[in-house]
Amino acid sequence: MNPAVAELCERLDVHVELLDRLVEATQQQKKALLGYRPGTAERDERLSAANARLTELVTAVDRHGPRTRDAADVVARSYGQADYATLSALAATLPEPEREALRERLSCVRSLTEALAELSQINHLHARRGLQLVSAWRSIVTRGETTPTTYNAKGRPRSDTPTGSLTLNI
Amino acid sequence: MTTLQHILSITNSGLQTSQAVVASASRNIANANTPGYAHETLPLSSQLGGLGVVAGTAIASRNALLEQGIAATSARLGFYQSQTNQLDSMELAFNDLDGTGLGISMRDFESAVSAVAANPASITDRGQMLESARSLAATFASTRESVARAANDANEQAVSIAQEINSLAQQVAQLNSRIRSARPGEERNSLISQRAAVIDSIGGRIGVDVVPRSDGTVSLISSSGRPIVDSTFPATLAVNVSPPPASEARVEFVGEGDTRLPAGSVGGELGGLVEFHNDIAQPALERIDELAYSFMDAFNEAHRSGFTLNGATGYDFFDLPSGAQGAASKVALSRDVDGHPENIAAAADLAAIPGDNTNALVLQGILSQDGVMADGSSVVNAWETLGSSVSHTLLRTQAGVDLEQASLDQLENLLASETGVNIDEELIRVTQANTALSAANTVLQELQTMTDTILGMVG
Repeated sequence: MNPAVAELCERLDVHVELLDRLVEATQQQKKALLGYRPGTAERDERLSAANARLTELVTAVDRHGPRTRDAADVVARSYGQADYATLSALAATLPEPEREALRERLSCVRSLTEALAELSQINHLHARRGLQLVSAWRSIVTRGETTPTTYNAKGRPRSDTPTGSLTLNI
Repeated sequence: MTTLQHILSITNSGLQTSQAVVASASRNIANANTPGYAHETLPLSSQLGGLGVVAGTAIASRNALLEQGIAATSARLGFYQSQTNQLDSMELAFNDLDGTGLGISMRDFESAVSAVAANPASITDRGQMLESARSLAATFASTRESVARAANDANEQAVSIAQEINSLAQQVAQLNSRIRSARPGEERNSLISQRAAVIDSIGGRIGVDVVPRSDGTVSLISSSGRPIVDSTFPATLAVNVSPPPASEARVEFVGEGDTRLPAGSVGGELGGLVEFHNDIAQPALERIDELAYSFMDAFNEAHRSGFTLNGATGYDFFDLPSGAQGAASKVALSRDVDGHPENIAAAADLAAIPGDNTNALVLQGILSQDGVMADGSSVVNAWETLGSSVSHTLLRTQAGVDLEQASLDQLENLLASETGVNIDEELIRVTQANTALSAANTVLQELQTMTDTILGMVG
């Protein structure tokens, strides 16, 4: 097999591995988000752990992306392709067995990414619902007051009331 | 199911569940200061097929053991508190620290008799002795009246509390009836919270054991074993006082056979008041009457054996009533001496008049003379013992109030921490939840951007 294609296949295998972990982490996040309600510390911890894992994996994919792109550029140059729109288009120009090997990996990446996109949309719905719930909950707890009253050490209301601690990011 | 239907189903179940959760939270916050309210939680579970979430029946966090402990402690607190209130007012009658009172009057009378003994021929001193005797009579009467008023107050309060208990028992029975037919969840929990608050009120007034029944109702059993409320049937209590001389307050069930609640089996405020009436105020009244009667009888006996300034003998000093009952309010000078100071029998020797003071010295010692009272003690000692007994009982009940109040505070704190609603904690939870969900939202937006990029790259 062409060494440049072999290198690209290796890069895509790493992608598949990362995406597979991302799907797993997103499912964990979904479990934590499903039926979310404030006041369940254990659930908050599980959600925070899932968030951290997802952030770590997204960063890894972002870091890995340029290398895959570089490997694809090398393949394109070695086969005299000055420009290519997508990796699928690039694969279509390759001879067998390089084309089949590349297509197999691209198919894996595509299906995993589509699954990930669907999962993330569902999770997004759950997260938005949770935040709406938190908003309603907060208005109940604060009785509609949007600015929390805080006090200094002498018991007087603070003039430099910190803001943002209760800002909802819906 | 298509992805769109999948998402819509999840969204729909999520919205419905959100409304249920917010409604539950709203009830918790709104009832943060409602007596008897228990923090409510809403169990959530996955919908069949993983299509979202479904809310179960709201569960109130109740702790039967702590609630029983609070009811028992409230009953003891009510018992001691009601006795302390009554003893506080009654103790004033026994307290000579303000310069008035029966003890002071007794000493003043002794001094007046002593003055006559020092100068038996003095009409002025004899007049002072009569005046002092009138003052002593008035003090006996006012002391008795204070104690009788305390006993009467206790009885009136007991009658009033029995009526309150009857009203509360009816409320519990009605709530029992509604709880039995209520659907599990919010409505039933709310009714149970209302009932818990009413039971707390009854417990403090009479002291009851709460016996839960399988249909969700409860029976409230008095210490005697007779139910105050039997599921949906309330009993009616009444407080009656037997006629004198017993004058005993009795708690009875109205309209039933042998209905009297045994003495000592009534707890709470009602038990405290009944015990105060029967075991403290009434015996104190009888003792004061006995003091007055015994003193007058002994004084008269000594007086009759002496001689007046005119040489007459056999005169009573006091107008002795026919019996001890009510004697303290009937202390009065006899017609022989009232307005006739010369008829005070200060002399023991007819030949030595007017200088003989032998009988006056005997009269002077009557108040402190052992054996005047039926139990062998002196009048002064009997009075001091009675006063110290009242003070001691007051101290004991005050200590009971302090102890039971501290226990009640601790138990209520424990219950509140377990089943109550803490606004600060709710606010912290909201903030924590907001942080976790905002982070999820952010990372999901990044994830969607990433998947778009990858799909664009793969093609």
